[in-house]
Amino acid sequence: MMQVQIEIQIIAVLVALTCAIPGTFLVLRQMTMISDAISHSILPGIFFGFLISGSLNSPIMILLAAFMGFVTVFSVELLQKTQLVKQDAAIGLVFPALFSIGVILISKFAGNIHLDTDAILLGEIAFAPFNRLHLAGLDLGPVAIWVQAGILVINLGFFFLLFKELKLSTFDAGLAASLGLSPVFIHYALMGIISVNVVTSFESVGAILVVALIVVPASTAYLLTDDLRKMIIISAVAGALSAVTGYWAAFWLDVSIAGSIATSCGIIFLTTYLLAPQRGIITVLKNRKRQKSEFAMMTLIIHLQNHSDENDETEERRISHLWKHLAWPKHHAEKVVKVTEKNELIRIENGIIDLTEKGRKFATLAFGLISSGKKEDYRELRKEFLVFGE
Amino acid sequence: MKPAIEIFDLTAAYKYKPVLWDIDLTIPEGVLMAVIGPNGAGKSTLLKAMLGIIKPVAGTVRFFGYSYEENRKLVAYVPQKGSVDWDFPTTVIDVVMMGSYGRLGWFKRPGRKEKKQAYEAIEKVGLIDYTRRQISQLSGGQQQRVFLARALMQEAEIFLLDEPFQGVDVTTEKSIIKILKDLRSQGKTVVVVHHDLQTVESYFDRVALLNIRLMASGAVSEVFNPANLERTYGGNIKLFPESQLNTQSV
Amino acid sequence: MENAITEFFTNHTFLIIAAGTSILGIVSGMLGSFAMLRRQSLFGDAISHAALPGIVLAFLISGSRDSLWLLSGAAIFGWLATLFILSVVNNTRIKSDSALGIALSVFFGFGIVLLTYVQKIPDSQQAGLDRFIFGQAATLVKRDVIIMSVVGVVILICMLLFWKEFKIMAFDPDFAATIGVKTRFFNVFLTSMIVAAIVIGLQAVGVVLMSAMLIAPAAAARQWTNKLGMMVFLSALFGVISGVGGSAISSLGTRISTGPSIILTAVLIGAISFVLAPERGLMVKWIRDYQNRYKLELQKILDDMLEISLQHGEPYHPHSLAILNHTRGFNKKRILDLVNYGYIELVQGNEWKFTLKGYQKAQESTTSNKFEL
Repeated sequence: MMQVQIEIQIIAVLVALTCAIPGTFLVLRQMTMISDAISHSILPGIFFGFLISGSLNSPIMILLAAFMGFVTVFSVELLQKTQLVKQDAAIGLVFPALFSIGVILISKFAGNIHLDTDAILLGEIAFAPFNRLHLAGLDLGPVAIWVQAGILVINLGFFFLLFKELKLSTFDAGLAASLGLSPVFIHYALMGIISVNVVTSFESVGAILVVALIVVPASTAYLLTDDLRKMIIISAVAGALSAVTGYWAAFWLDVSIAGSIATSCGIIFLTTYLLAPQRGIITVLKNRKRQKSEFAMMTLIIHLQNHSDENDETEERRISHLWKHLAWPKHHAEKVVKVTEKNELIRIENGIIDLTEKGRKFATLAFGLISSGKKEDYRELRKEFLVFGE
Repeated sequence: MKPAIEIFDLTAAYKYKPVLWDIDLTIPEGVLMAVIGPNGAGKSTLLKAMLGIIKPVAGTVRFFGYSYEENRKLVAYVPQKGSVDWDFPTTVIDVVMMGSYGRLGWFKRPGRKEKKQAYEAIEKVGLIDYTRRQISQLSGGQQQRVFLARALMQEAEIFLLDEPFQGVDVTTEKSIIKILKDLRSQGKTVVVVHHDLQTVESYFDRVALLNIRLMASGAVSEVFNPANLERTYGGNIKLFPESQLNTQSV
Repeated sequence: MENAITEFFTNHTFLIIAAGTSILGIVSGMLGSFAMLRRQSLFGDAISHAALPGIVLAFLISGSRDSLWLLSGAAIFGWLATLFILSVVNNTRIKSDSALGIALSVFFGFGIVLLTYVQKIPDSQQAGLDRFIFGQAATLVKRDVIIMSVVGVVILICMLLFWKEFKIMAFDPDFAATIGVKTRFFNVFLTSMIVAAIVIGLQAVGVVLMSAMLIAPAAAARQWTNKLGMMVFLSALFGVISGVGGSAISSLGTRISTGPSIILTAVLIGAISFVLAPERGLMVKWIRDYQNRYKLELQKILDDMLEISLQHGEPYHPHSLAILNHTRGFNKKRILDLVNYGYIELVQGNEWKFTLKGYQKAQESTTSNKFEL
């Protein structure tokens, strides 16, 4: 591997790691759209910062762009307060407007400077290694690595310091407020750090990839764990993995690195979406099918129990009756009856269904459960009585 | 003559947690009936399952012997007012006119006849001064009355209302119950999901007590007693006889 | 002779652009109204970003730059994104904002990958594809406009035919279901039309900004009316102004992408609407607030004056102005205003007393708390 390749991957991984932590919180707070908005609307800030300082790495630019991030958040909230539009529409008005201003400014005035519209969206990570940091005659590597590493450290510091507060205000804003931890302050602090992240990552990876790295790995992690800390770690790992695999795919196919990394995030997400234990779609659909079956059985049993005491309720217990009053299609009713019979909860004689002893016990327990409504008890009940051999 | 509403073995669930279980209920024509029960007891779900808004796991519902799909005109529904975006660009008359959309079918537009009926309905609920107002300019009670007017437009035989008295002012409550009692005297069947136990006896003839299963149902005088209430609510429910209350009787 | 030809040619081109962007404006205005009312504004953002890979793939497969292919590809991918989002939201605990963000960034990133792949093919034809990112109305040709018109007319007809159903679906879907409206069908129908609206706008506005075209005209229109029909009409009108105006403005300079100028025009119309609209507008609110505060100030002073008078016993007895220093809201200008309204009189320059009118007014204000000038 050439040094340049290593450096590019390092930058990409650093960006992924930097985005993983705030991404986790944004996903949990359901505020990911704001990160999309900020990544677009900082553009005017970048333009002015570039105009003033002449470079894409100057602190002035970072400051101006971060300022634009705040402007975005404030504008959206101000607009919402007027009650003339709802929040989603407010976001969808503010960032396109600011982004458009930025694009026009750049195409009109920055055309001769090294700043064009494609770079805005995609960054120029491929060229990042060519901008190197020279100190005292030593080549210390690409500037981007230093900047990104610095931002990562700042992030780690920020989130480490405010971890408890962020955790509490994310899951229980009311409690946080009553404990004196102003959720408003935390909210703006979070927005601030996001702005800074977006700005610094912008140059390397562009607007779209920043959004991808913020939202997708964290969502992937969300499907895999319930623990906040684990979620952050998995998010970081998924992001880093996407960065590396994305880079190699881009190298192999000779296509956009940023686009490739974003696609890679998506593929990892998709895989998790399908295969995750518990929450993956395959498991969910399987469970759903089973639950439906169990539920139908419970319905049948309880229905029989309700009508087994009176003599003239024999009608209600005819198989043919089932699809009259329960409104079950014939073939569905037959299936349910078969499974229930297999579980020895019912017995069929002359087309009339009777509850077995086991079935009666089951019905009584189920009745009690309905009133208490506790989910765990269902599982116990199911385990004890039901067996599936489809 | 078939009863107004017949419910057989109605079972409904939300993510495999039962919300209604094996409900068998018959409601005769021309009554004003309350459905009561604790929160989460499935009261709203009962109405929604009856109308097919929620698909039940099992069971059938018949209105005068017909399924709802066969004869929608028979039934009018007044939902909880929280379920709508009040900032929507529409006025009182607009919303009430929507009550005629079901009758008109595809492609036809509401005309003069419908407009006249709409004005009558608005008059009946006492909102004639607000006819052209945008709905967010109305108070909670007025919004509820708009929904009621819309239901009146539907020319139905059966009216299902979901907590119509929730969070409304006294004037609105008085006017709504008067309209409901009028409907009953016209021979309509009115079923109301109700939250206020204090008013059951003065407002309704029949009551159904629901807590996922049907605990009891019948005439208020027979069925509305402490024993049944305790079974339904699972605790101590104290009812003050009206003589002890200082409130105005409605 | 040559000048005349050039003139005609330029005009013809502009006509095409104007026609194309007008259709875009009308369609996005109409559908945008419904999308906005159903809180699906950002959903449009995801769909438009997701269209990019569709466009490029269509080019790769068909080998042609023809709009029909490209827009079909865009529509297919737009729908794929929709299905993806719905599937994620309905089957996992991931919330809708994250699902939108995932669809948006991943599909778009994939689109960029395809784009850079295509750009390596040594064929000048494909160079035009990146106009779909920020939009370039100047690239519209007659055939494009024809396609847009057909789609636009179909949408218009559907909207008119099923107006009642769409209206009631947007306002109260539960009620709609009870009166027999097939909500599922109409949801799919409406979403398809939204996808179509987005797709036909992509050439002029680009994927990145198209979502704003669904929001801005509708948000602006909402401020001017309380009737859905009028809102949809105004929205279409604002859409046309933005489309045509924006393209005109961008062509005045050098070749800037038309997307940003169209969007800025639309947002400007929105901002003007937010401020100037009667009833809902901010200007009206500010004026009303100011008037209320003004009245309140005068009312306070009169109340205090009444108190002073009552302490004295004789209502029309003059009092020194200096006493008022201790009251709230004492303000020389307001005192003069009160004189102008005829509520008090100044005596010898440093004293005030009630007039008949003023005394009545002050009494009225204290008892009924109503105060009109």
